[in-house]
Amino acid sequence: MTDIEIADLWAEILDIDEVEPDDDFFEIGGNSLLALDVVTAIAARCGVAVPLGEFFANRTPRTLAETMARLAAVSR
Amino acid sequence: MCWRARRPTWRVSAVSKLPRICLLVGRNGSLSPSEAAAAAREVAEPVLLLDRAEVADFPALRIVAESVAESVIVDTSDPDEVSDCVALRRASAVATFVDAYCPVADEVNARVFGLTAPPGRWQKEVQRALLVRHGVTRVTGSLVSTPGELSAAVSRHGLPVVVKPARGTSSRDIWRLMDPFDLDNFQSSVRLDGRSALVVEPYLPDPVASRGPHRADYLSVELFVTTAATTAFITDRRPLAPPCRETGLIVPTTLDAAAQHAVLAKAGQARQALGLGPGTYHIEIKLTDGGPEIVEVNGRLGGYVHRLAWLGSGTDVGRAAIRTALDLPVSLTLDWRQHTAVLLLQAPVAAARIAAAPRGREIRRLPGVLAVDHVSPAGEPLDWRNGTEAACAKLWVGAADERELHRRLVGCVAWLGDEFDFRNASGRRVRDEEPAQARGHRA
Repeated sequence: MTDIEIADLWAEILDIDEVEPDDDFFEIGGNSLLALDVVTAIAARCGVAVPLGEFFANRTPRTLAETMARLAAVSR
Repeated sequence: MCWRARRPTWRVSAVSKLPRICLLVGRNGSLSPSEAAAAAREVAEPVLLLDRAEVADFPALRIVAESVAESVIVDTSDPDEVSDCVALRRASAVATFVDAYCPVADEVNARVFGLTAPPGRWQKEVQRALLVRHGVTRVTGSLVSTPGELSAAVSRHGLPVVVKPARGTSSRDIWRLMDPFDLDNFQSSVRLDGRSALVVEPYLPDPVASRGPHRADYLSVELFVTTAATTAFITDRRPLAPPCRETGLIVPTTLDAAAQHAVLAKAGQARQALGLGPGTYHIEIKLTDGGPEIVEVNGRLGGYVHRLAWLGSGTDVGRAAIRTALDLPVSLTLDWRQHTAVLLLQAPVAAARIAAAPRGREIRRLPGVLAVDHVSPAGEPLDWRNGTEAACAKLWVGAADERELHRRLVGCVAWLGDEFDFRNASGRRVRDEEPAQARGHRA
Protein backbone atom coordinates (compact mmCIF):
# COMPACT_ATOMS: atom_id res chain seq x y z
CA MET A 1 0.00 0.00 0.00
CA THR A 2 1.18 3.51 -0.74
CA ASP A 3 0.99 6.33 1.72
CA ILE A 4 -1.97 7.71 -0.22
CA GLU A 5 -3.85 4.41 0.06
CA ILE A 6 -3.10 4.24 3.78
CA ALA A 7 -4.31 7.82 4.21
CA ASP A 8 -7.56 6.91 2.44
CA LEU A 9 -8.00 3.88 4.69
CA TRP A 10 -7.48 6.01 7.80
CA ALA A 11 -9.97 8.59 6.56
CA GLU A 12 -12.50 5.79 6.12
CA ILE A 13 -11.90 4.32 9.58
CA LEU A 14 -11.72 7.69 11.35
CA ASP A 15 -14.68 9.04 9.37
CA ILE A 16 -12.92 12.21 8.27
CA ASP A 17 -12.58 13.83 4.85
CA GLU A 18 -8.89 13.85 4.30
CA VAL A 19 -5.69 12.53 5.85
CA GLU A 20 -2.30 13.91 4.88
CA PRO A 21 0.78 11.67 4.50
CA ASP A 22 2.39 13.23 7.58
CA ASP A 23 -0.68 13.25 9.85
CA ASP A 24 -0.19 11.46 13.17
CA PHE A 25 -2.91 8.82 13.58
CA PHE A 26 -3.33 9.61 17.26
CA GLU A 27 -3.60 13.35 16.72
CA ILE A 28 -6.44 13.18 14.22
CA GLY A 29 -8.84 11.08 16.29
CA GLY A 30 -7.23 7.64 16.29
CA ASN A 31 -6.80 5.47 19.36
CA SER A 32 -5.39 2.04 20.18
CA LEU A 33 -8.57 0.17 19.32
CA LEU A 34 -8.98 1.96 16.00
CA ALA A 35 -5.34 1.09 15.32
CA LEU A 36 -6.37 -2.55 15.66
CA ASP A 37 -9.02 -1.93 12.99
CA VAL A 38 -6.38 -0.40 10.71
CA VAL A 39 -3.91 -3.29 10.93
CA THR A 40 -6.75 -5.79 10.48
CA ALA A 41 -7.93 -3.94 7.36
CA ILE A 42 -4.38 -3.76 5.98
CA ALA A 43 -3.93 -7.50 6.44
CA ALA A 44 -7.26 -8.18 4.72
CA ARG A 45 -6.61 -5.84 1.79
CA CYS A 46 -3.00 -6.56 0.95
CA GLY A 47 -1.92 -9.51 3.07
CA VAL A 48 0.77 -7.67 5.02
CA ALA A 49 0.66 -8.37 8.75
CA VAL A 50 1.71 -5.15 10.47
CA PRO A 51 2.45 -5.82 14.15
CA LEU A 52 0.55 -3.35 16.29
CA GLY A 53 3.78 -2.27 17.93
CA GLU A 54 5.13 -1.25 14.49
CA PHE A 55 1.99 0.75 13.90
CA PHE A 56 2.43 2.62 17.20
CA ALA A 57 6.03 3.41 16.25
CA ASN A 58 5.08 4.52 12.71
CA ARG A 59 2.07 6.72 13.18
CA THR A 60 1.88 8.57 9.84
CA PRO A 61 0.81 7.16 6.45
CA ARG A 62 4.27 7.96 5.09
CA THR A 63 6.27 6.10 7.76
CA LEU A 64 3.75 3.27 7.88
CA ALA A 65 4.03 2.78 4.10
CA GLU A 66 7.83 2.57 4.46
CA THR A 67 7.45 0.04 7.28
CA MET A 68 5.02 -2.04 5.24
CA ALA A 69 7.41 -2.08 2.30
CA ARG A 70 10.15 -3.31 4.61
CA LEU A 71 7.92 -5.98 6.16
CA ALA A 72 6.79 -7.16 2.72
CA ALA A 73 10.42 -7.41 1.54
CA VAL A 74 11.41 -9.45 4.59
CA SER A 75 8.52 -11.87 4.12
CA ARG A 76 9.35 -12.54 0.45
CA MET B 1 2.86 11.30 61.53
CA CYS B 2 5.60 11.49 58.94
CA TRP B 3 4.94 9.57 55.75
CA ARG B 4 7.94 7.96 54.09
CA ALA B 5 7.85 9.24 50.58
CA ARG B 6 11.48 9.13 49.47
CA ARG B 7 12.14 6.49 46.88
CA PRO B 8 14.92 3.93 47.53
CA THR B 9 17.84 3.59 45.14
CA TRP B 10 17.00 2.53 41.61
CA ARG B 11 17.11 -0.98 40.40
CA VAL B 12 18.35 -1.05 36.84
CA SER B 13 17.27 -3.62 34.31
CA ALA B 14 20.22 -5.78 33.27
CA VAL B 15 19.18 -5.71 29.63
CA SER B 16 18.09 -2.18 28.85
CA LYS B 17 20.03 -0.24 31.52
CA LEU B 18 16.88 1.73 32.10
CA PRO B 19 15.00 1.48 35.39
CA ARG B 20 11.95 -0.72 35.16
CA ILE B 21 8.56 0.73 36.03
CA CYS B 22 5.29 -1.14 36.50
CA LEU B 23 2.30 0.80 35.17
CA LEU B 24 -1.22 -0.14 36.18
CA VAL B 25 -3.18 0.66 33.03
CA GLY B 26 -6.72 0.18 31.81
CA ARG B 27 -9.46 1.38 29.50
CA ASN B 28 -10.42 4.47 31.46
CA GLY B 29 -7.01 5.82 32.25
CA SER B 30 -5.72 9.32 31.63
CA LEU B 31 -3.13 7.61 29.41
CA SER B 32 -4.02 4.55 27.34
CA PRO B 33 -1.67 1.55 27.51
CA SER B 34 0.01 2.58 24.25
CA GLU B 35 0.37 6.20 25.40
CA ALA B 36 1.83 5.04 28.72
CA ALA B 37 4.37 2.83 26.97
CA ALA B 38 5.28 5.67 24.59
CA ALA B 39 5.66 8.10 27.51
CA ALA B 40 8.13 5.72 29.17
CA ARG B 41 10.32 5.47 26.08
CA GLU B 42 13.97 6.31 26.85
CA VAL B 43 13.06 6.97 30.48
CA ALA B 44 12.18 3.53 31.77
CA GLU B 45 11.44 0.01 30.70
CA PRO B 46 7.67 -0.28 31.19
CA VAL B 47 5.82 -3.35 32.36
CA LEU B 48 2.10 -2.89 31.84
CA LEU B 49 -0.15 -4.41 34.50
CA LEU B 50 -3.68 -5.18 33.31
CA ASP B 51 -6.61 -6.18 35.45
CA ARG B 52 -7.76 -9.75 34.89
CA ALA B 53 -11.49 -8.96 34.98
CA GLU B 54 -11.14 -5.97 32.68
CA VAL B 55 -9.16 -7.99 30.14
CA ALA B 56 -11.85 -10.67 30.22
CA ASP B 57 -14.42 -8.00 29.33
CA PHE B 58 -12.21 -6.20 26.79
CA PRO B 59 -9.72 -8.64 25.22
CA ALA B 60 -8.44 -5.94 22.82
CA LEU B 61 -6.85 -4.25 25.81
CA ARG B 62 -4.44 -7.16 26.16
CA ILE B 63 -3.67 -7.25 22.43
CA VAL B 64 -2.80 -3.56 22.43
CA ALA B 65 -0.76 -3.73 25.64
CA GLU B 66 1.24 -6.76 24.56
CA SER B 67 2.07 -5.07 21.27
CA VAL B 68 3.78 -2.15 22.97
CA ALA B 69 5.41 -3.52 26.12
CA GLU B 70 5.83 -6.49 28.42
CA SER B 71 2.37 -6.99 29.88
CA VAL B 72 1.16 -8.96 32.87
CA ILE B 73 -2.39 -9.83 33.85
CA VAL B 74 -3.06 -9.37 37.57
CA ASP B 75 -5.97 -9.18 39.95
CA THR B 76 -5.85 -5.51 40.94
CA SER B 77 -8.07 -6.20 43.94
CA ASP B 78 -5.31 -8.39 45.38
CA PRO B 79 -2.41 -6.22 46.65
CA ASP B 80 -0.37 -9.36 47.42
CA GLU B 81 -0.50 -10.53 43.81
CA VAL B 82 0.31 -7.07 42.42
CA SER B 83 3.15 -6.58 44.92
CA ASP B 84 4.63 -9.99 44.09
CA CYS B 85 4.45 -9.13 40.39
CA VAL B 86 6.25 -5.81 40.88
CA ALA B 87 8.89 -7.32 43.16
CA LEU B 88 9.48 -10.27 40.83
CA ARG B 89 10.20 -7.93 37.93
CA ARG B 90 12.62 -5.93 40.05
CA ALA B 91 10.82 -2.73 39.19
CA SER B 92 12.00 0.58 40.61
CA ALA B 93 8.53 2.07 40.87
CA VAL B 94 4.85 1.52 40.32
CA ALA B 95 2.46 4.14 38.98
CA THR B 96 -1.01 4.30 37.52
CA PHE B 97 -3.13 6.46 35.24
CA VAL B 98 -6.40 4.89 36.40
CA ASP B 99 -8.34 6.25 39.37
CA ALA B 100 -9.53 2.84 40.50
CA TYR B 101 -5.95 1.57 40.80
CA CYS B 102 -4.58 4.38 42.98
CA PRO B 103 -5.28 2.48 46.24
CA VAL B 104 -3.49 -0.67 45.06
CA ALA B 105 -0.56 1.47 43.84
CA ASP B 106 -0.32 2.85 47.40
CA GLU B 107 -0.37 -0.69 48.80
CA VAL B 108 2.41 -1.81 46.47
CA ASN B 109 4.49 1.26 47.23
CA ALA B 110 4.23 0.45 50.93
CA ARG B 111 4.92 -3.29 50.64
CA VAL B 112 7.61 -3.31 47.95
CA PHE B 113 9.27 0.08 48.32
CA GLY B 114 8.50 0.99 51.94
CA LEU B 115 6.80 4.22 50.83
CA THR B 116 4.01 4.76 53.32
CA ALA B 117 1.08 7.11 52.93
CA PRO B 118 -2.06 7.95 54.90
CA PRO B 119 -4.34 4.88 54.65
CA GLY B 120 -7.44 5.37 52.54
CA ARG B 121 -6.36 8.75 51.19
CA TRP B 122 -8.10 8.17 47.83
CA GLN B 123 -11.46 7.47 49.46
CA LYS B 124 -13.53 10.64 49.24
CA GLU B 125 -14.66 10.72 52.88
CA VAL B 126 -11.21 9.79 54.27
CA GLN B 127 -9.51 12.35 52.05
CA ARG B 128 -11.86 15.11 53.17
CA ALA B 129 -11.26 14.20 56.82
CA LEU B 130 -7.49 14.39 56.25
CA LEU B 131 -7.82 17.78 54.58
CA VAL B 132 -9.93 19.06 57.49
CA ARG B 133 -7.54 17.63 60.07
CA HIS B 134 -4.61 19.46 58.47
CA GLY B 135 -6.48 22.74 58.22
CA VAL B 136 -6.60 22.72 54.40
CA THR B 137 -10.38 23.08 54.44
CA ARG B 138 -13.27 23.39 56.86
CA VAL B 139 -15.66 21.66 54.49
CA THR B 140 -16.63 18.29 55.92
CA GLY B 141 -18.37 15.36 54.26
CA SER B 142 -20.73 12.65 55.50
CA LEU B 143 -20.87 9.04 54.40
CA VAL B 144 -24.48 7.84 54.09
CA SER B 145 -26.13 4.63 52.96
CA THR B 146 -29.67 4.83 54.34
CA PRO B 147 -32.51 7.37 54.03
CA GLY B 148 -32.16 8.22 57.73
CA GLU B 149 -28.44 8.93 57.36
CA LEU B 150 -29.14 11.08 54.32
CA SER B 151 -31.71 13.16 56.20
CA ALA B 152 -29.35 13.57 59.13
CA ALA B 153 -26.49 14.63 56.81
CA VAL B 154 -28.66 17.16 55.00
CA SER B 155 -29.81 18.58 58.35
CA ARG B 156 -26.21 18.77 59.52
CA HIS B 157 -24.80 20.46 56.41
CA GLY B 158 -27.91 22.39 55.32
CA LEU B 159 -28.99 22.78 51.69
CA PRO B 160 -27.55 23.09 49.13
CA VAL B 161 -25.50 19.89 49.15
CA VAL B 162 -23.82 17.64 46.66
CA VAL B 163 -24.38 13.88 46.79
CA LYS B 164 -22.00 11.55 44.99
CA PRO B 165 -21.02 7.88 45.06
CA ALA B 166 -18.24 7.25 47.56
CA ARG B 167 -16.29 5.29 44.96
CA GLY B 168 -17.44 7.08 41.82
CA THR B 169 -15.44 8.79 39.09
CA SER B 170 -16.02 11.05 36.08
CA SER B 171 -19.00 12.88 37.61
CA ARG B 172 -21.06 9.70 37.36
CA ASP B 173 -24.33 9.92 39.31
CA ILE B 174 -23.51 13.20 41.04
CA TRP B 175 -26.53 15.10 42.30
CA ARG B 176 -26.68 18.76 43.27
CA LEU B 177 -29.54 19.34 45.70
CA MET B 178 -30.22 23.06 45.83
CA ASP B 179 -33.59 23.08 47.64
CA PRO B 180 -36.20 20.79 49.25
CA PHE B 181 -37.71 20.08 45.82
CA ASP B 182 -34.36 18.68 44.61
CA LEU B 183 -34.09 16.64 47.83
CA ASP B 184 -37.55 15.12 47.30
CA ASN B 185 -36.70 14.32 43.70
CA PHE B 186 -33.45 12.66 44.78
CA GLN B 187 -35.14 10.61 47.49
CA SER B 188 -37.75 9.37 45.07
CA SER B 189 -35.16 8.56 42.37
CA VAL B 190 -32.38 6.89 44.35
CA ARG B 191 -32.93 3.90 46.59
CA LEU B 192 -30.64 3.95 49.60
CA ASP B 193 -30.55 0.31 50.63
CA GLY B 194 -27.76 0.41 53.18
CA ARG B 195 -25.27 -1.24 50.84
CA SER B 196 -23.90 1.39 48.47
CA ALA B 197 -22.34 4.39 50.15
CA LEU B 198 -22.77 8.02 49.12
CA VAL B 199 -20.90 11.08 50.24
CA VAL B 200 -22.86 14.20 51.15
CA GLU B 201 -20.94 17.48 51.14
CA PRO B 202 -21.98 21.11 51.40
CA TYR B 203 -22.17 22.79 48.02
CA LEU B 204 -19.23 25.18 47.88
CA PRO B 205 -20.54 28.73 47.51
CA ASP B 206 -20.15 30.37 44.12
CA PRO B 207 -17.97 33.47 43.98
CA VAL B 208 -19.74 36.78 43.53
CA ALA B 209 -17.64 37.59 40.49
CA SER B 210 -17.73 34.76 37.97
CA ARG B 211 -15.05 34.19 35.35
CA GLY B 212 -17.47 35.00 32.56
CA PRO B 213 -19.51 32.79 30.25
CA HIS B 214 -16.65 30.65 28.98
CA ARG B 215 -14.75 29.58 32.09
CA ALA B 216 -16.00 27.69 35.12
CA ASP B 217 -15.33 28.71 38.72
CA TYR B 218 -13.39 25.54 39.21
CA LEU B 219 -10.17 24.29 37.64
CA SER B 220 -7.54 21.67 38.14
CA VAL B 221 -3.88 21.52 39.01
CA GLU B 222 -1.51 18.84 37.75
CA LEU B 223 1.15 18.43 40.41
CA PHE B 224 4.46 16.80 39.48
CA VAL B 225 6.24 15.89 42.70
CA THR B 226 9.80 14.70 43.14
CA THR B 227 11.97 14.69 46.23
CA ALA B 228 13.90 17.66 44.86
CA ALA B 229 11.10 19.85 43.52
CA THR B 230 7.43 20.24 42.73
CA THR B 231 6.20 21.55 39.38
CA ALA B 232 2.61 22.31 38.48
CA PHE B 233 0.31 23.76 35.89
CA ILE B 234 -3.32 24.81 35.90
CA THR B 235 -6.04 23.72 33.48
CA ASP B 236 -9.23 25.77 33.13
CA ARG B 237 -12.67 24.22 32.70
CA ARG B 238 -15.66 25.14 30.61
CA PRO B 239 -18.89 25.73 32.53
CA LEU B 240 -20.56 22.57 33.79
CA ALA B 241 -23.68 21.05 32.30
CA PRO B 242 -26.40 20.34 34.87
CA PRO B 243 -26.06 18.98 37.42
CA CYS B 244 -22.29 18.46 37.55
CA ARG B 245 -21.16 17.13 34.15
CA GLU B 246 -17.99 18.43 32.58
CA THR B 247 -18.17 20.13 29.20
CA GLY B 248 -14.49 20.61 28.52
CA LEU B 249 -11.03 21.64 29.57
CA ILE B 250 -8.91 24.53 28.29
CA VAL B 251 -5.22 25.41 28.30
CA PRO B 252 -3.52 27.67 29.11
CA THR B 253 -5.29 29.13 32.13
CA THR B 254 -6.42 32.75 32.05
CA LEU B 255 -6.17 33.19 35.82
CA ASP B 256 -4.08 36.19 36.82
CA ALA B 257 -0.76 35.64 38.58
CA ALA B 258 -2.11 36.32 42.09
CA ALA B 259 -5.00 33.88 41.65
CA GLN B 260 -2.65 31.25 40.21
CA HIS B 261 -0.40 31.69 43.23
CA ALA B 262 -3.33 31.18 45.62
CA VAL B 263 -4.48 28.07 43.74
CA LEU B 264 -1.01 26.53 43.70
CA ALA B 265 -0.53 27.34 47.40
CA LYS B 266 -3.77 25.49 48.19
CA ALA B 267 -2.60 22.54 46.09
CA GLY B 268 0.65 22.56 48.06
CA GLN B 269 -1.30 22.37 51.33
CA ALA B 270 -3.22 19.36 50.01
CA ARG B 271 0.07 17.75 49.06
CA GLN B 272 1.29 18.04 52.65
CA ALA B 273 -1.99 16.84 54.17
CA LEU B 274 -2.23 13.75 51.97
CA GLY B 275 1.46 12.84 52.06
CA LEU B 276 1.90 13.10 48.31
CA GLY B 277 5.37 11.72 47.59
CA PRO B 278 7.13 11.40 44.23
CA GLY B 279 4.47 11.02 41.58
CA THR B 280 1.86 12.98 39.66
CA TYR B 281 -1.43 14.19 41.11
CA HIS B 282 -4.60 15.80 39.81
CA ILE B 283 -6.18 18.33 42.17
CA GLU B 284 -9.60 19.85 41.50
CA ILE B 285 -10.16 23.24 43.02
CA LYS B 286 -13.13 25.58 43.20
CA LEU B 287 -12.67 29.34 43.39
CA THR B 288 -14.78 30.85 46.16
CA ASP B 289 -14.91 34.31 47.73
CA GLY B 290 -13.11 32.81 50.74
CA GLY B 291 -10.26 31.61 48.53
CA PRO B 292 -9.58 28.40 46.60
CA GLU B 293 -11.20 25.25 48.05
CA ILE B 294 -10.11 21.69 47.36
CA VAL B 295 -12.81 19.60 45.67
CA GLU B 296 -10.86 16.38 45.23
CA VAL B 297 -7.34 15.01 44.85
CA ASN B 298 -6.50 12.06 42.59
CA GLY B 299 -3.33 9.97 42.57
CA ARG B 300 -2.77 10.17 38.83
CA LEU B 301 -2.57 12.58 35.92
CA GLY B 302 -5.90 14.21 35.06
CA GLY B 303 -8.02 12.99 32.17
CA TYR B 304 -7.54 14.74 28.80
CA VAL B 305 -4.57 16.71 30.18
CA HIS B 306 -1.95 14.63 28.39
CA ARG B 307 -3.31 15.39 24.93
CA LEU B 308 -4.22 18.99 25.76
CA ALA B 309 -0.65 19.73 26.79
CA TRP B 310 0.67 17.94 23.72
CA LEU B 311 -1.56 19.80 21.27
CA GLY B 312 -1.10 23.12 23.05
CA SER B 313 2.60 23.06 23.77
CA GLY B 314 4.18 19.92 22.32
CA THR B 315 5.05 18.78 25.85
CA ASP B 316 4.60 15.15 26.88
CA VAL B 317 3.33 15.42 30.45
CA GLY B 318 2.90 11.63 30.46
CA ARG B 319 6.67 11.39 30.26
CA ALA B 320 6.92 13.85 33.15
CA ALA B 321 4.55 11.62 35.12
CA ILE B 322 6.77 8.59 34.50
CA ARG B 323 9.82 10.58 35.59
CA THR B 324 8.15 11.70 38.84
CA ALA B 325 7.22 8.10 39.70
CA LEU B 326 10.92 7.27 39.41
CA ASP B 327 11.81 10.43 41.36
CA LEU B 328 13.80 11.74 38.38
CA PRO B 329 14.08 15.51 37.81
CA VAL B 330 11.26 16.98 35.73
CA SER B 331 11.74 19.98 33.50
CA LEU B 332 8.28 21.12 32.52
CA THR B 333 8.46 24.16 30.28
CA LEU B 334 5.01 24.55 28.81
CA ASP B 335 5.54 26.99 26.00
CA TRP B 336 1.95 27.35 24.76
CA ARG B 337 1.93 27.67 20.99
CA GLN B 338 -1.86 27.57 20.71
CA HIS B 339 -4.89 27.82 22.97
CA THR B 340 -6.47 24.39 23.05
CA ALA B 341 -9.66 22.85 24.40
CA VAL B 342 -11.36 19.51 24.51
CA LEU B 343 -15.10 19.98 24.09
CA LEU B 344 -17.40 17.41 25.70
CA LEU B 345 -20.92 17.90 24.45
CA GLN B 346 -23.44 16.80 27.07
CA ALA B 347 -27.06 16.05 26.21
CA PRO B 348 -29.84 17.81 28.12
CA VAL B 349 -30.74 16.18 31.44
CA ALA B 350 -34.19 15.35 30.05
CA ALA B 351 -32.80 13.57 26.98
CA ALA B 352 -33.45 9.83 26.85
CA ARG B 353 -32.39 9.02 23.28
CA ILE B 354 -30.56 10.42 20.26
CA ALA B 355 -32.86 10.60 17.24
CA ALA B 356 -30.28 12.08 14.84
CA ALA B 357 -26.57 12.82 15.06
CA PRO B 358 -23.96 14.47 12.83
CA ARG B 359 -21.07 12.49 11.34
CA GLY B 360 -17.51 12.83 12.56
CA ARG B 361 -16.29 14.08 9.19
CA GLU B 362 -18.85 16.91 9.29
CA ILE B 363 -17.64 17.99 12.73
CA ARG B 364 -14.03 17.78 11.56
CA ARG B 365 -14.78 20.50 8.98
CA LEU B 366 -15.79 23.08 11.62
CA PRO B 367 -13.25 25.90 12.11
CA GLY B 368 -10.46 25.04 14.53
CA VAL B 369 -11.41 21.39 15.06
CA LEU B 370 -8.19 19.40 15.38
CA ALA B 371 -9.69 15.96 15.96
CA VAL B 372 -12.95 14.21 16.71
CA ASP B 373 -12.67 11.32 19.13
CA HIS B 374 -16.26 10.29 19.52
CA VAL B 375 -19.73 10.98 18.19
CA SER B 376 -22.67 9.09 19.67
CA PRO B 377 -24.84 7.61 16.92
CA ALA B 378 -28.56 8.00 16.34
CA GLY B 379 -30.56 5.55 18.38
CA GLU B 380 -28.24 5.60 21.38
CA PRO B 381 -30.03 5.74 24.76
CA LEU B 382 -29.02 8.56 27.12
CA ASP B 383 -28.95 8.98 30.88
CA TRP B 384 -27.36 12.05 32.44
CA ARG B 385 -26.38 9.94 35.47
CA ASN B 386 -23.67 8.27 33.39
CA GLY B 387 -21.65 11.45 33.94
CA THR B 388 -18.97 13.18 31.94
CA GLU B 389 -17.83 10.16 29.95
CA ALA B 390 -21.30 9.82 28.40
CA ALA B 391 -20.64 12.98 26.35
CA CYS B 392 -22.32 12.77 22.94
CA ALA B 393 -19.35 14.30 21.15
CA LYS B 394 -15.69 14.69 22.10
CA LEU B 395 -13.61 17.00 19.97
CA TRP B 396 -10.38 18.94 20.19
CA VAL B 397 -10.31 22.57 19.17
CA GLY B 398 -7.37 24.96 18.78
CA ALA B 399 -6.85 28.66 18.04
CA ALA B 400 -4.10 31.22 18.08
CA ASP B 401 -5.59 33.20 20.95
CA GLU B 402 -8.13 32.92 23.73
CA ARG B 403 -10.79 35.05 22.04
CA GLU B 404 -10.67 33.04 18.83
CA LEU B 405 -10.78 29.77 20.75
CA HIS B 406 -13.98 30.83 22.53
CA ARG B 407 -15.50 31.98 19.26
CA ARG B 408 -14.79 28.58 17.77
CA LEU B 409 -16.08 26.69 20.81
CA VAL B 410 -19.32 28.67 20.78
CA GLY B 411 -19.64 27.94 17.06
CA CYS B 412 -19.08 24.21 17.59
CA VAL B 413 -21.59 24.02 20.46
CA ALA B 414 -24.25 25.89 18.46
CA TRP B 415 -23.73 23.72 15.38
CA LEU B 416 -23.79 20.49 17.39
CA GLY B 417 -26.91 21.68 19.22
CA ASP B 418 -28.67 22.01 15.86
CA GLU B 419 -27.41 18.76 14.40
CA PHE B 420 -28.07 16.50 17.37
CA ASP B 421 -31.73 15.64 17.83
CA PHE B 422 -32.30 14.68 21.46
CA ARG B 423 -35.63 13.21 22.51
CA ASN B 424 -37.06 12.85 26.01
CA ALA B 425 -38.85 9.76 27.33
CA SER B 426 -42.07 10.90 25.64
CA GLY B 427 -40.35 11.27 22.28
CA ARG B 428 -40.48 15.06 22.28
CA ARG B 429 -37.41 16.96 21.09
CA VAL B 430 -35.39 18.60 23.88
CA ARG B 431 -32.81 21.24 23.10
CA ASP B 432 -29.22 21.33 24.18
CA GLU B 433 -28.95 23.21 27.49
CA GLU B 434 -25.25 23.58 27.25
CA PRO B 435 -24.82 26.92 25.48
CA ALA B 436 -27.37 28.60 27.71
CA GLN B 437 -25.68 27.93 30.98
CA ALA B 438 -23.99 31.01 32.22
CA ARG B 439 -21.65 29.73 34.88
CA GLY B 440 -19.90 26.59 35.90
CA HIS B 441 -20.08 25.35 39.42
CA ARG B 442 -18.07 22.49 40.71
CA ALA B 443 -19.45 20.87 43.78
